[in-house]
Amino acid sequence: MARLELDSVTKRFGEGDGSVLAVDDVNIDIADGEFLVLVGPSGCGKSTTLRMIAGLESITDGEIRLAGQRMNEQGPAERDIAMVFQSYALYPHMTVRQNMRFGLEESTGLDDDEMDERVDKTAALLDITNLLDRKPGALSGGQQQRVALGRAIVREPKAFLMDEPLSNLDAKLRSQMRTELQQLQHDLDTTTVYVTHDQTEAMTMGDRIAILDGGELQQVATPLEAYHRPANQFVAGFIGEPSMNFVDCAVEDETLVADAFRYPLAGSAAAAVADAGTVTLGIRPEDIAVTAGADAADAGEHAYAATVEVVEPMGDENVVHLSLDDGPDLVATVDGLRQLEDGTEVVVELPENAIHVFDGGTGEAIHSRSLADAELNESRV
Amino acid sequence: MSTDAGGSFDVDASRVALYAVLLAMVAFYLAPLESGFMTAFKTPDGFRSTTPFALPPLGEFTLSAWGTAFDRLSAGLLNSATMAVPATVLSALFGSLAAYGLTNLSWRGQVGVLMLFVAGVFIPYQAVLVPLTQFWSFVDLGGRIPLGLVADNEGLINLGITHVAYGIPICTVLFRSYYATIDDEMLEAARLDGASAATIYRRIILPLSVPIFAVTLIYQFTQIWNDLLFAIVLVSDPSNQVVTVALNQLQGSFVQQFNLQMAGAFVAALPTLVVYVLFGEQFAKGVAGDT
Repeated sequence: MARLELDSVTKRFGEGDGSVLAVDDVNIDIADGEFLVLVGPSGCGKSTTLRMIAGLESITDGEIRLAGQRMNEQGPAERDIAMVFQSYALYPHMTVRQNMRFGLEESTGLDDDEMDERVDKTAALLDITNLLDRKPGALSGGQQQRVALGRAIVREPKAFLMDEPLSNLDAKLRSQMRTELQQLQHDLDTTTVYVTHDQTEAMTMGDRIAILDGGELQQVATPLEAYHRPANQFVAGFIGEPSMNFVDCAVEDETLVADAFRYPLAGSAAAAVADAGTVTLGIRPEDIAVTAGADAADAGEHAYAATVEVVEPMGDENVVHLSLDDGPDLVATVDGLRQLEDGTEVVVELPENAIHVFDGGTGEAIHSRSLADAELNESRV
Repeated sequence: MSTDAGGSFDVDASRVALYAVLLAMVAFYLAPLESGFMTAFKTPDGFRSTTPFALPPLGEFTLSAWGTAFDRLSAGLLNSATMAVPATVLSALFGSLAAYGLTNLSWRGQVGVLMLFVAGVFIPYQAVLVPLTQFWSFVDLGGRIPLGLVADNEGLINLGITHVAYGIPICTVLFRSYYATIDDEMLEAARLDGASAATIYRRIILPLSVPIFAVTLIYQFTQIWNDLLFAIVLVSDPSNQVVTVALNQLQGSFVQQFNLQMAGAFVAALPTLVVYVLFGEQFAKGVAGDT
């Protein structure tokens, strides 16, 4: 158990002109016992970052500290870190017990009885006691997953690293393991870095999430903060399913303009965009109100006439693809019990308190949605 | 093949043709072996009076050729075994270690070293005979190590070491293709578990290498056992003569004793068959890539 600090960590593969910057100046401070999720699209550098923490990749620049100690020069064996791999990476010729004992035999001076005791305790914790004498080849994917976790837990390391450990499981088992893993991490209270490309895992599991793109850290925040207060357009688009809607606009006298689409602003939003030339308007699908059989002219200033293009029923909600008469296409979600037909003329309202505005050039957030009417207060997010 | 309601068989013509061709090929490939086997049981008169692949005629059946062949080859068999078994095991072990170092560990310049190993596979034995003999006369093991054991077996030791050295490249290539399929994440997991490179080899790579060891052992043993060229050139002391050289000397200078030569050939070939039978199951797994 320890605090894990990444201080300006940089990784460059290759040398000279052909080199690739995989991780660029990443700073993350992970508290003792914290569950941090590293999330981002493929190739964003999240796995490389994890492998640098593990000692499987050298660190080009910067420093990684575990419990205050510099780790850069230490080999993987000396770092007292356990890792769970996507492929589980179990030793196929050893039984589950031998798999779990291997790390204890190689890295601790425990005697046989103590090792067996630790293995039995961990196996009981993970409910795999009945599998101890089997070999990995005779186990299902979910069972192998548990053994891989057990192999990490049994060593009682300072930190756990997990590289997409749930991605080889089927959807139902994955959501079950997600909950279980969270519970387990909470009970063990061990610092954990969890890499995933799945934003659902990131949202649901982490104490905080670190979003990476193109090797650069975009934002480190609690899941709700990243959702409601995204630092930039990338985070806003990456977190949340379906993604946030974006409309590129010009700013003309406190009004956002995209061809015929006009979105008047007031108050803080208007002040925020005052100096900007072009901006991107963002709004989450669940914040868009869709009303059938109304007249846009009668509704408020942020209401627009639109046509339903496609409806994707998800059961609990319907994902509605809309085409605004004034231009942009939007995606909205509505209650699953509501009947909406393709081609229906509707009125959509884009409430001003739910919009985000991003700088058109840098993508940085210049205005985030209001949480004034939300139950969660600002301090929680 | 299917049966109709009446119970008579539908004969599939293409199947019949397939089996006919296969049988013909079996006969074609086994004919020399069968002829040799039959010849080994015939007296010289019996050999002259029958075609080679026919059974021995009445009164012309004898086991004496086998007895003689075994007597005259037994020293060679023993010498071959003392030389070939350690040479096979060592070349496989070194090949495995080299392949591990070149495949599963990463270090600067390994591609260049690998190229040398691959080039080593293609060195023709004839091309190195002269430098090889010069090398061993310079090394002069018997002279440098004053032990009776070394001096008495100098030819076999030289031959064995030569086979180990010339076997390592092909063994490395065989092992490397197998080790390339080993999951890198598993080895990384072992590193995180605290295992050193040597421990990973001993506790993970080696136990997983059983099938490819079978392949390599069978291949190398057959190569080394059957080699005649190095054996003729490097071994001069008759007491160190290996079985292939002894077999060559069964050929009489005036009278061709075909039954003796054939029996000798089978006696000399038997150990390679035994090795194949011993490791056959693992061999199949190794070739099929079953881990």
